[in-house]
Amino acid sequence: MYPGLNKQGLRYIAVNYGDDAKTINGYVKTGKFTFPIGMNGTGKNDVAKHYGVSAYPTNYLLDAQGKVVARFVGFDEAGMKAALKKMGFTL
Amino acid sequence: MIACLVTLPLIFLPQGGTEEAKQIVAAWRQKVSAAKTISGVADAKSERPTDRMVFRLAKPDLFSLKSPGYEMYSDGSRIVMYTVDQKQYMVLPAGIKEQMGTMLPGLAPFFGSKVPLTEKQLGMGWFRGAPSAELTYSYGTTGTLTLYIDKATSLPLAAVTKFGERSVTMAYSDLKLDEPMSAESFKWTPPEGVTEAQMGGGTDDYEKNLLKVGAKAPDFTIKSPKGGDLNLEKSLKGSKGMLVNFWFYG
Repeated sequence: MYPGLNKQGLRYIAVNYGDDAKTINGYVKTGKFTFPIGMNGTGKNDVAKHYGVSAYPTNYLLDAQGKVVARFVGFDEAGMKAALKKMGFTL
Repeated sequence: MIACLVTLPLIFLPQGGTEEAKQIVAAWRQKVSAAKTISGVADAKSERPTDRMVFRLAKPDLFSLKSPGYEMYSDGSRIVMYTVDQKQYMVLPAGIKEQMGTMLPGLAPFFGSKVPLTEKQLGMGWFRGAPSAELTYSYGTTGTLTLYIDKATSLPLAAVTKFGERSVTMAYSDLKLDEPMSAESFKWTPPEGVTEAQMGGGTDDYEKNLLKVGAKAPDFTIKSPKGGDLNLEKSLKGSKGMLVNFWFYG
């Protein structure tokens, strides 16, 4: 789903919580993952904390200005598709 | 070797077995949904060494799952997730129960949930030498989930998820239905030195802790596991939107 949306201007950041770099790279290696993955930081960059996230997966959909459009807890593919369509993306 | 066993039957897939496959799938749904308890083992094989998940499930809402990275317990009043390495546990939103069918797709009927995917293909096949119904669901636009239901027992043999080049085989073994399980056996108390992770609020208040719709998402700079930094504001430049996903592998 991602490559097509990326062309339409949707960006993606996957924030990993708690795994080390080796585990993540091992996980990603054979998957042809094209989207950026980062590791949750500390202090100002403890993203999970500042975004109130403690259940996984949680997804935030932001608009181009970085404002929260929608939030998804768990695997909510239908909800996410609906929100993306509402933002004008073609699925 | 295992990969060979999985792929070979595809080449020799018999034609016209759909009716038989339908019956096996119907028997699986019936048998698994009627069970009062289920215990067993799910071995997930991907590029990491096998992750073994030992599970016990009892209706209506008791379960325990133990894997090397994390453990989950539901004692009927709350669901906790214990991350062993981090010596922490957290109380999960009650809604996580709805995800159980996704975590153990071969047992989805037990949770009263359909596999929340679109059925794509059904036929007869084999899994590791056992004749089975092979039920494939589409998953996203490119992924598939294939369930192998044992012809002999109507129980799931495996769930194979394919996403791009990535493939994860979760093989079920040692499945036992309707063994007596006491509610007491699902109680979990944190081991010595294990603390509750701060999530403020509580189970059903989870969403209250999230950023509000309409709020500006705070900027951050985090490290990529491959080196380099990822910055939110920078990534937003020239975009039409952004999906920020939080995940962990365990």
